[in-house]
Amino acid sequence: MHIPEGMLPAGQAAAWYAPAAAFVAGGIVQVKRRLARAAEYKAMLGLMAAFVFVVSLMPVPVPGIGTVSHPCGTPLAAILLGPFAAVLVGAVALLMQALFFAHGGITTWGANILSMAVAGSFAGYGTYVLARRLGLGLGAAAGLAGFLGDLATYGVTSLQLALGLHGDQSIPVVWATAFVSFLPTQVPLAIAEGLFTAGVLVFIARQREDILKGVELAP
Amino acid sequence: MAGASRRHDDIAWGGGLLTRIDPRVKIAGTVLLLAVNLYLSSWAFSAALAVAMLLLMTLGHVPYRRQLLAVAFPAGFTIFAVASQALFSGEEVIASLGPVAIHWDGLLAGLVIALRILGGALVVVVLGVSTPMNHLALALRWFRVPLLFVELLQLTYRYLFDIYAEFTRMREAQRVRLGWSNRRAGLESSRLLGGALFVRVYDRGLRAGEAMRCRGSGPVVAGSLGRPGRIDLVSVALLAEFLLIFMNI
Repeated sequence: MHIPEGMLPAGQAAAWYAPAAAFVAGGIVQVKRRLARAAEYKAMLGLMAAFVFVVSLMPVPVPGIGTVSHPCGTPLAAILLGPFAAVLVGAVALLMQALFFAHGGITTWGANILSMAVAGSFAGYGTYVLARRLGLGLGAAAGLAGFLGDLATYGVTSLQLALGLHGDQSIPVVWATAFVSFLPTQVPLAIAEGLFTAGVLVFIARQREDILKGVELAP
Repeated sequence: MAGASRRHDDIAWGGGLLTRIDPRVKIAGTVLLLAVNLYLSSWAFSAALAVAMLLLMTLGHVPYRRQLLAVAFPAGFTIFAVASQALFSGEEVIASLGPVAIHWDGLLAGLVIALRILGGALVVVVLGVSTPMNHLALALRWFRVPLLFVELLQLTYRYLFDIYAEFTRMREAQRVRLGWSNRRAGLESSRLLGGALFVRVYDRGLRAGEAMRCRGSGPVVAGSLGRPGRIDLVSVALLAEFLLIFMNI
Protein backbone atom coordinates (compact mmCIF):
# COMPACT_ATOMS: atom_id res chain seq x y z
CA MET A 1 0.00 0.00 0.00
CA HIS A 2 1.77 3.14 -1.20
CA ILE A 3 0.37 6.30 0.40
CA PRO A 4 -0.21 8.71 -2.50
CA GLU A 5 1.04 12.28 -2.80
CA GLY A 6 -0.98 14.80 -0.77
CA MET A 7 -2.63 12.26 1.53
CA LEU A 8 -0.77 13.19 4.73
CA PRO A 9 -0.79 16.63 6.40
CA ALA A 10 2.36 18.75 5.91
CA GLY A 11 3.79 18.31 9.42
CA GLN A 12 3.42 14.55 9.41
CA ALA A 13 4.73 14.13 5.87
CA ALA A 14 7.86 16.03 6.96
CA ALA A 15 8.16 14.14 10.25
CA TRP A 16 8.22 10.71 8.55
CA TYR A 17 11.23 11.82 6.53
CA ALA A 18 13.51 11.93 9.61
CA PRO A 19 13.44 8.23 10.58
CA ALA A 20 13.32 7.19 6.93
CA ALA A 21 16.45 9.26 6.19
CA ALA A 22 18.24 7.64 9.14
CA PHE A 23 17.57 4.15 7.77
CA VAL A 24 18.52 5.13 4.20
CA ALA A 25 21.75 6.66 5.58
CA GLY A 26 22.37 3.38 7.41
CA GLY A 27 21.91 1.56 4.11
CA ILE A 28 24.32 3.90 2.33
CA VAL A 29 26.98 3.39 5.02
CA GLN A 30 26.61 -0.40 4.91
CA VAL A 31 26.69 -0.55 1.12
CA LYS A 32 29.72 1.78 0.93
CA ARG A 33 31.58 -0.53 3.32
CA ARG A 34 30.75 -3.45 1.08
CA LEU A 35 31.73 -1.52 -2.06
CA ALA A 36 35.16 -0.84 -0.59
CA ARG A 37 35.71 -4.61 -0.63
CA ALA A 38 33.97 -5.39 -3.93
CA ALA A 39 33.32 -2.55 -6.38
CA GLU A 40 31.23 -4.79 -8.67
CA TYR A 41 28.57 -4.94 -5.95
CA LYS A 42 27.22 -1.59 -7.26
CA ALA A 43 25.94 -3.14 -10.49
CA MET A 44 24.42 -6.00 -8.52
CA LEU A 45 22.59 -3.56 -6.28
CA GLY A 46 21.22 -1.64 -9.27
CA LEU A 47 19.92 -4.87 -10.73
CA MET A 48 18.42 -5.86 -7.39
CA ALA A 49 16.57 -2.54 -7.17
CA ALA A 50 15.19 -3.18 -10.67
CA PHE A 51 14.26 -6.71 -9.53
CA VAL A 52 12.35 -5.34 -6.51
CA PHE A 53 10.63 -2.81 -8.79
CA VAL A 54 9.50 -5.55 -11.20
CA VAL A 55 8.56 -8.02 -8.42
CA SER A 56 6.42 -5.39 -6.70
CA LEU A 57 4.43 -5.13 -9.95
CA MET A 58 4.22 -8.90 -10.46
CA PRO A 59 0.71 -10.37 -10.25
CA VAL A 60 0.43 -13.08 -7.59
CA PRO A 61 -2.90 -14.93 -7.10
CA VAL A 62 -4.32 -14.14 -3.66
CA PRO A 63 -5.75 -17.25 -1.95
CA GLY A 64 -9.37 -17.00 -0.81
CA ILE A 65 -10.49 -13.80 -2.50
CA GLY A 66 -10.08 -14.84 -6.14
CA THR A 67 -8.01 -11.91 -7.33
CA VAL A 68 -4.38 -11.07 -8.00
CA SER A 69 -2.25 -8.57 -6.14
CA HIS A 70 1.36 -7.44 -5.97
CA PRO A 71 3.90 -8.50 -3.34
CA CYS A 72 5.96 -5.86 -1.50
CA GLY A 73 9.15 -7.72 -2.38
CA THR A 74 11.04 -6.10 0.50
CA PRO A 75 11.06 -9.15 2.86
CA LEU A 76 12.61 -11.19 0.04
CA ALA A 77 15.12 -8.44 -0.75
CA ALA A 78 16.06 -8.19 2.95
CA ILE A 79 16.73 -11.93 3.19
CA LEU A 80 18.91 -11.81 0.07
CA LEU A 81 20.71 -8.48 0.58
CA GLY A 82 20.47 -7.76 4.31
CA PRO A 83 17.94 -5.30 5.81
CA PHE A 84 19.83 -2.00 5.41
CA ALA A 85 20.73 -2.61 1.77
CA ALA A 86 17.11 -3.66 1.19
CA VAL A 87 15.96 -0.30 2.64
CA LEU A 88 18.19 1.55 0.16
CA VAL A 89 17.01 -0.57 -2.75
CA GLY A 90 13.40 -0.14 -1.62
CA ALA A 91 13.80 3.65 -1.39
CA VAL A 92 15.08 3.79 -4.98
CA ALA A 93 12.25 1.57 -6.22
CA LEU A 94 9.65 3.70 -4.38
CA LEU A 95 10.97 6.95 -5.88
CA MET A 96 10.83 5.50 -9.38
CA GLN A 97 7.32 4.14 -8.87
CA ALA A 98 6.19 7.59 -7.70
CA LEU A 99 7.70 9.29 -10.76
CA PHE A 100 6.54 6.69 -13.31
CA PHE A 101 3.07 5.74 -12.07
CA ALA A 102 2.12 8.10 -9.20
CA HIS A 103 2.33 5.01 -6.93
CA GLY A 104 3.30 6.86 -3.76
CA GLY A 105 4.58 10.43 -3.89
CA ILE A 106 7.35 12.87 -3.05
CA THR A 107 6.01 14.28 0.22
CA THR A 108 4.85 10.79 1.25
CA TRP A 109 8.15 9.18 0.19
CA GLY A 110 9.44 9.22 3.78
CA ALA A 111 6.27 7.57 5.11
CA ASN A 112 6.34 4.96 2.34
CA ILE A 113 10.03 4.21 2.91
CA LEU A 114 9.28 3.65 6.58
CA SER A 115 6.32 1.35 6.00
CA MET A 116 7.36 -0.61 2.92
CA ALA A 117 11.14 -0.55 2.94
CA VAL A 118 11.97 -0.32 6.66
CA ALA A 119 9.09 -2.21 8.34
CA GLY A 120 8.86 -4.79 5.52
CA SER A 121 12.61 -5.41 5.42
CA PHE A 122 13.33 -5.49 9.14
CA ALA A 123 10.24 -7.50 10.11
CA GLY A 124 10.94 -9.94 7.28
CA TYR A 125 14.65 -10.23 7.99
CA GLY A 126 14.19 -10.50 11.76
CA THR A 127 11.56 -13.20 11.37
CA TYR A 128 13.73 -15.13 8.92
CA VAL A 129 16.82 -15.07 11.18
CA LEU A 130 14.80 -15.98 14.27
CA ALA A 131 12.94 -18.78 12.53
CA ARG A 132 16.19 -20.27 11.18
CA ARG A 133 17.73 -20.13 14.65
CA LEU A 134 14.67 -21.93 16.00
CA GLY A 135 15.37 -24.69 13.51
CA LEU A 136 12.71 -24.03 10.86
CA GLY A 137 13.48 -25.06 7.29
CA LEU A 138 14.39 -22.53 4.59
CA GLY A 139 10.92 -22.52 3.01
CA ALA A 140 9.02 -22.22 6.30
CA ALA A 141 11.31 -19.45 7.60
CA ALA A 142 11.07 -17.51 4.34
CA GLY A 143 7.29 -18.00 4.19
CA LEU A 144 6.88 -16.69 7.73
CA ALA A 145 9.19 -13.76 6.91
CA GLY A 146 7.14 -12.84 3.84
CA PHE A 147 3.86 -13.14 5.76
CA LEU A 148 4.95 -11.05 8.77
CA GLY A 149 6.92 -8.57 6.63
CA ASP A 150 3.78 -7.89 4.60
CA LEU A 151 1.61 -7.55 7.72
CA ALA A 152 4.17 -5.19 9.31
CA THR A 153 4.10 -3.00 6.20
CA TYR A 154 0.33 -2.91 6.32
CA GLY A 155 0.29 -2.22 10.08
CA VAL A 156 2.64 0.76 9.76
CA THR A 157 0.77 2.14 6.73
CA SER A 158 -2.56 1.99 8.56
CA LEU A 159 -0.95 3.71 11.59
CA GLN A 160 0.36 6.48 9.32
CA LEU A 161 -3.08 6.88 7.76
CA ALA A 162 -4.77 6.89 11.18
CA LEU A 163 -2.38 9.57 12.45
CA GLY A 164 -3.04 11.68 9.37
CA LEU A 165 -6.79 11.21 9.01
CA HIS A 166 -8.17 10.52 12.48
CA GLY A 167 -10.22 13.71 12.54
CA ASP A 168 -12.03 14.11 15.87
CA GLN A 169 -11.69 10.43 16.81
CA SER A 170 -8.90 8.98 18.93
CA ILE A 171 -5.95 7.61 16.96
CA PRO A 172 -6.13 4.03 18.34
CA VAL A 173 -9.81 3.78 17.38
CA VAL A 174 -9.16 4.90 13.79
CA TRP A 175 -6.07 2.70 13.54
CA ALA A 176 -7.98 -0.34 14.81
CA THR A 177 -10.88 0.45 12.46
CA ALA A 178 -8.58 0.79 9.45
CA PHE A 179 -6.59 -2.30 10.41
CA VAL A 180 -9.61 -4.53 11.01
CA SER A 181 -11.60 -3.34 8.00
CA PHE A 182 -8.75 -4.17 5.62
CA LEU A 183 -7.89 -7.50 7.31
CA PRO A 184 -10.12 -9.65 5.06
CA THR A 185 -8.06 -8.57 2.04
CA GLN A 186 -4.71 -8.04 3.74
CA VAL A 187 -4.38 -11.44 5.43
CA PRO A 188 -4.79 -13.39 2.16
CA LEU A 189 -2.37 -10.92 0.57
CA ALA A 190 0.17 -11.55 3.33
CA ILE A 191 -0.29 -15.32 2.81
CA ALA A 192 0.38 -14.81 -0.91
CA GLU A 193 3.54 -12.82 -0.10
CA GLY A 194 4.66 -15.59 2.27
CA LEU A 195 4.09 -18.30 -0.33
CA PHE A 196 5.87 -16.21 -2.96
CA THR A 197 8.89 -15.46 -0.73
CA ALA A 198 9.20 -19.10 0.31
CA GLY A 199 8.78 -20.33 -3.27
CA VAL A 200 11.42 -18.02 -4.69
CA LEU A 201 13.96 -18.82 -1.98
CA VAL A 202 13.42 -22.58 -2.22
CA PHE A 203 13.74 -22.32 -6.02
CA ILE A 204 17.07 -20.50 -5.68
CA ALA A 205 18.31 -22.98 -3.05
CA ARG A 206 17.44 -25.93 -5.30
CA GLN A 207 18.62 -24.55 -8.61
CA ARG A 208 21.56 -22.38 -7.62
CA GLU A 209 22.71 -23.12 -4.12
CA ASP A 210 25.94 -21.26 -4.83
CA ILE A 211 24.04 -17.97 -4.85
CA LEU A 212 22.84 -18.41 -1.28
CA LYS A 213 26.10 -19.89 -0.02
CA GLY A 214 28.86 -18.24 -1.90
CA VAL A 215 28.65 -14.55 -2.47
CA GLU A 216 27.47 -13.08 0.83
CA LEU A 217 24.01 -12.35 -0.49
CA ALA A 218 22.27 -14.45 2.12
CA PRO A 219 22.84 -13.95 5.85
CA MET B 1 4.60 -1.42 -17.14
CA ALA B 2 7.03 -1.63 -20.01
CA GLY B 3 4.67 0.12 -22.39
CA ALA B 4 3.97 2.89 -19.94
CA SER B 5 7.61 3.29 -19.00
CA ARG B 6 8.92 3.22 -22.55
CA ARG B 7 6.35 5.79 -23.38
CA HIS B 8 7.45 7.69 -20.29
CA ASP B 9 11.01 7.67 -21.59
CA ASP B 10 9.94 8.67 -25.09
CA ILE B 11 7.89 11.55 -23.70
CA ALA B 12 10.73 12.64 -21.44
CA TRP B 13 13.14 12.73 -24.37
CA GLY B 14 10.52 14.09 -26.76
CA GLY B 15 11.93 17.59 -26.74
CA GLY B 16 8.67 19.21 -25.75
CA LEU B 17 8.44 22.51 -23.94
CA LEU B 18 8.55 20.88 -20.51
CA THR B 19 11.64 18.81 -21.32
CA ARG B 20 13.61 21.94 -22.18
CA ILE B 21 13.16 23.46 -18.73
CA ASP B 22 16.23 22.97 -16.51
CA PRO B 23 15.65 19.92 -14.26
CA ARG B 24 16.86 21.89 -11.21
CA VAL B 25 14.08 24.42 -11.81
CA LYS B 26 11.59 21.58 -12.25
CA ILE B 27 12.66 19.81 -9.06
CA ALA B 28 12.66 23.02 -6.99
CA GLY B 29 9.31 24.03 -8.49
CA THR B 30 7.82 20.60 -7.81
CA VAL B 31 8.93 20.60 -4.17
CA LEU B 32 7.62 24.15 -3.72
CA LEU B 33 4.23 23.37 -5.28
CA LEU B 34 3.85 20.18 -3.24
CA ALA B 35 4.75 21.99 -0.02
CA VAL B 36 2.27 24.81 -0.72
CA ASN B 37 -0.37 22.23 -1.71
CA LEU B 38 -0.04 20.57 1.70
CA TYR B 39 0.43 23.79 3.67
CA LEU B 40 -2.54 25.69 2.23
CA SER B 41 -4.77 22.61 2.04
CA SER B 42 -7.28 24.60 0.02
CA TRP B 43 -9.66 23.11 -2.52
CA ALA B 44 -9.18 26.10 -4.84
CA PHE B 45 -5.38 25.80 -4.93
CA SER B 46 -5.41 22.01 -5.36
CA ALA B 47 -8.05 22.16 -8.09
CA ALA B 48 -6.16 24.92 -9.92
CA LEU B 49 -2.96 22.89 -9.58
CA ALA B 50 -4.64 19.82 -11.08
CA VAL B 51 -6.05 21.82 -14.00
CA ALA B 52 -2.71 23.56 -14.59
CA MET B 53 -0.84 20.24 -14.62
CA LEU B 54 -3.34 18.62 -17.00
CA LEU B 55 -2.99 21.66 -19.25
CA LEU B 56 0.81 21.46 -19.11
CA MET B 57 0.72 17.77 -20.00
CA THR B 58 -1.62 18.42 -22.90
CA LEU B 59 0.65 21.22 -24.17
CA GLY B 60 3.62 18.87 -23.72
CA HIS B 61 1.85 16.25 -25.91
CA VAL B 62 1.61 13.73 -23.07
CA PRO B 63 -0.92 11.10 -24.28
CA TYR B 64 -4.31 11.17 -22.54
CA ARG B 65 -3.90 7.50 -21.61
CA ARG B 66 -0.73 8.38 -19.70
CA GLN B 67 -2.55 11.24 -17.96
CA LEU B 68 -5.36 8.87 -16.97
CA LEU B 69 -2.84 6.36 -15.62
CA ALA B 70 -1.45 9.13 -13.41
CA VAL B 71 -4.74 9.63 -11.62
CA ALA B 72 -5.88 5.99 -11.62
CA PHE B 73 -3.78 4.85 -8.67
CA PRO B 74 -4.50 7.72 -6.25
CA ALA B 75 -8.24 7.49 -7.06
CA GLY B 76 -8.80 4.60 -4.61
CA PHE B 77 -7.13 6.55 -1.83
CA THR B 78 -9.27 9.62 -2.46
CA ILE B 79 -12.35 7.49 -1.72
CA PHE B 80 -10.71 6.34 1.53
CA ALA B 81 -9.86 9.94 2.43
CA VAL B 82 -13.42 11.18 1.84
CA ALA B 83 -14.98 8.24 3.69
CA SER B 84 -12.66 8.47 6.70
CA GLN B 85 -13.20 12.22 7.10
CA ALA B 86 -16.96 11.98 6.66
CA LEU B 87 -17.11 9.26 9.33
CA PHE B 88 -14.48 10.41 11.82
CA SER B 89 -14.59 14.17 11.55
CA GLY B 90 -17.15 16.97 11.88
CA GLU B 91 -20.30 17.74 13.86
CA GLU B 92 -23.14 18.35 11.40
CA VAL B 93 -24.72 14.93 10.84
CA ILE B 94 -26.40 14.41 7.46
CA ALA B 95 -27.12 10.69 7.77
CA SER B 96 -26.67 8.04 10.43
CA LEU B 97 -27.07 4.33 10.88
CA GLY B 98 -26.76 3.26 14.52
CA PRO B 99 -23.40 4.45 15.86
CA VAL B 100 -22.12 5.31 12.36
CA ALA B 101 -22.79 8.90 11.24
CA ILE B 102 -21.81 10.82 8.11
CA HIS B 103 -20.85 14.45 8.79
CA TRP B 104 -21.27 17.27 6.28
CA ASP B 105 -18.19 19.22 7.43
CA GLY B 106 -16.17 16.00 7.49
CA LEU B 107 -17.30 15.23 3.96
CA LEU B 108 -16.09 18.66 2.80
CA ALA B 109 -12.75 18.15 4.59
CA GLY B 110 -12.44 14.78 2.84
CA LEU B 111 -13.08 16.37 -0.54
CA VAL B 112 -10.31 18.89 0.15
CA ILE B 113 -7.90 16.01 0.84
CA ALA B 114 -9.08 14.23 -2.30
CA LEU B 115 -8.32 17.32 -4.40
CA ARG B 116 -4.98 17.71 -2.61
CA ILE B 117 -4.10 14.13 -3.61
CA LEU B 118 -5.16 14.71 -7.22
CA GLY B 119 -3.26 17.99 -7.58
CA GLY B 120 -0.15 16.66 -5.87
CA ALA B 121 -0.06 13.40 -7.85
CA LEU B 122 -0.31 15.31 -11.12
CA VAL B 123 2.59 17.59 -10.14
CA VAL B 124 4.78 14.53 -9.49
CA VAL B 125 3.76 12.94 -12.78
CA VAL B 126 4.57 16.12 -14.72
CA LEU B 127 8.08 16.02 -13.24
CA GLY B 128 8.34 12.33 -14.12
CA VAL B 129 7.18 12.53 -17.72
CA SER B 130 9.15 15.66 -18.57
CA THR B 131 12.56 14.80 -17.11
CA PRO B 132 14.91 12.22 -18.65
CA MET B 133 16.51 10.10 -15.95
CA ASN B 134 20.06 11.31 -16.57
CA HIS B 135 18.93 14.96 -16.28
CA LEU B 136 17.16 14.06 -13.05
CA ALA B 137 20.32 12.36 -11.74
CA LEU B 138 22.51 15.38 -12.56
CA ALA B 139 20.04 17.73 -10.90
CA LEU B 140 19.86 15.53 -7.80
CA ARG B 141 23.66 15.63 -7.55
CA TRP B 142 23.49 19.43 -7.86
CA PHE B 143 21.14 19.37 -4.85
CA ARG B 144 23.81 17.32 -2.98
CA VAL B 145 21.86 14.06 -2.87
CA PRO B 146 24.41 11.32 -1.94
CA LEU B 147 26.28 10.03 -5.00
CA LEU B 148 25.65 6.37 -4.17
CA PHE B 149 21.90 6.93 -4.10
CA VAL B 150 21.89 8.78 -7.42
CA GLU B 151 24.14 6.16 -9.03
CA LEU B 152 21.80 3.45 -7.80
CA LEU B 153 18.88 5.33 -9.31
CA GLN B 154 20.69 5.52 -12.66
CA LEU B 155 21.71 1.86 -12.63
CA THR B 156 18.22 0.74 -11.68
CA TYR B 157 16.75 2.72 -14.55
CA ARG B 158 19.37 1.34 -16.95
CA TYR B 159 18.55 -2.30 -16.09
CA LEU B 160 14.83 -1.94 -15.50
CA PHE B 161 13.66 -2.34 -19.10
CA ASP B 162 15.88 -5.38 -19.77
CA ILE B 163 14.64 -7.11 -16.65
CA TYR B 164 11.05 -6.28 -17.41
CA ALA B 165 11.42 -7.58 -20.97
CA GLU B 166 12.86 -10.83 -19.59
CA PHE B 167 10.04 -11.04 -17.04
CA THR B 168 7.43 -10.58 -19.78
CA ARG B 169 9.05 -13.23 -22.01
CA MET B 170 9.10 -15.79 -19.21
CA ARG B 171 5.53 -15.05 -18.19
CA GLU B 172 4.27 -15.36 -21.76
CA ALA B 173 6.08 -18.70 -22.07
CA GLN B 174 4.40 -19.86 -18.85
CA ARG B 175 1.03 -18.68 -20.11
CA VAL B 176 1.41 -20.67 -23.33
CA ARG B 177 2.04 -23.78 -21.21
CA LEU B 178 -1.14 -22.97 -19.19
CA GLY B 179 0.95 -21.93 -16.22
CA TRP B 180 -1.63 -19.35 -15.17
CA SER B 181 -4.77 -21.34 -15.99
CA ASN B 182 -5.96 -21.55 -12.36
CA ARG B 183 -4.99 -20.14 -8.97
CA ARG B 184 -2.84 -23.07 -7.90
CA ALA B 185 -0.96 -23.09 -11.20
CA GLY B 186 -0.63 -19.32 -10.94
CA LEU B 187 0.97 -19.52 -7.51
CA GLU B 188 3.40 -22.20 -8.70
CA SER B 189 4.20 -20.12 -11.79
CA SER B 190 4.79 -16.95 -9.77
CA ARG B 191 7.26 -18.89 -7.58
CA LEU B 192 9.12 -20.19 -10.64
CA LEU B 193 9.01 -16.81 -12.32
CA GLY B 194 10.36 -14.93 -9.28
CA GLY B 195 13.11 -17.49 -8.70
CA ALA B 196 14.20 -17.75 -12.33
CA LEU B 197 14.15 -13.97 -12.69
CA PHE B 198 16.32 -13.58 -9.60
CA VAL B 199 18.88 -16.11 -10.85
CA ARG B 200 19.11 -14.27 -14.19
CA VAL B 201 19.38 -10.91 -12.46
CA TYR B 202 22.11 -12.26 -10.22
CA ASP B 203 24.16 -13.71 -13.08
CA ARG B 204 23.77 -10.54 -15.07
CA GLY B 205 24.77 -8.49 -12.02
CA LEU B 206 27.99 -10.47 -11.70
CA ARG B 207 28.77 -10.01 -15.42
CA ALA B 208 27.93 -6.30 -15.35
CA GLY B 209 30.07 -5.79 -12.25
CA GLU B 210 33.01 -7.63 -13.83
CA ALA B 211 32.64 -5.62 -17.04
CA MET B 212 32.56 -2.35 -15.12
CA ARG B 213 35.70 -3.34 -13.21
CA CYS B 214 37.51 -4.47 -16.41
CA ARG B 215 36.97 -1.19 -18.20
CA GLY B 216 37.90 0.79 -15.11
CA SER B 217 34.46 2.30 -15.07
CA GLY B 218 34.27 5.72 -13.43
CA PRO B 219 31.27 7.41 -11.90
CA VAL B 220 27.87 6.41 -13.30
CA VAL B 221 26.62 9.98 -13.05
CA ALA B 222 28.65 12.18 -15.40
CA GLY B 223 28.08 15.38 -17.38
CA SER B 224 26.82 18.83 -16.51
CA LEU B 225 23.57 20.70 -16.82
CA GLY B 226 24.84 24.06 -18.02
CA ARG B 227 23.46 27.44 -17.08
CA PRO B 228 19.72 28.10 -16.81
CA GLY B 229 18.35 29.90 -19.87
CA ARG B 230 15.49 32.23 -20.78
CA ILE B 231 12.88 29.46 -20.68
CA ASP B 232 13.88 28.75 -17.07
CA LEU B 233 13.46 32.40 -16.06
CA VAL B 234 10.02 32.47 -17.69
CA SER B 235 9.10 29.25 -15.86
CA VAL B 236 10.16 30.69 -12.51
CA ALA B 237 8.20 33.89 -13.20
CA LEU B 238 5.06 31.93 -14.12
CA LEU B 239 5.41 29.74 -11.04
CA ALA B 240 5.81 32.80 -8.79
CA GLU B 241 2.76 34.42 -10.42
CA PHE B 242 0.69 31.27 -9.88
CA LEU B 243 1.70 31.09 -6.21
CA LEU B 244 1.16 34.82 -5.59
CA ILE B 245 -2.37 34.67 -6.94
CA PHE B 246 -3.32 31.94 -4.51
CA MET B 247 -1.37 33.31 -1.55
CA ASN B 248 -3.35 36.55 -1.89
CA ILE B 249 -6.67 34.73 -2.11
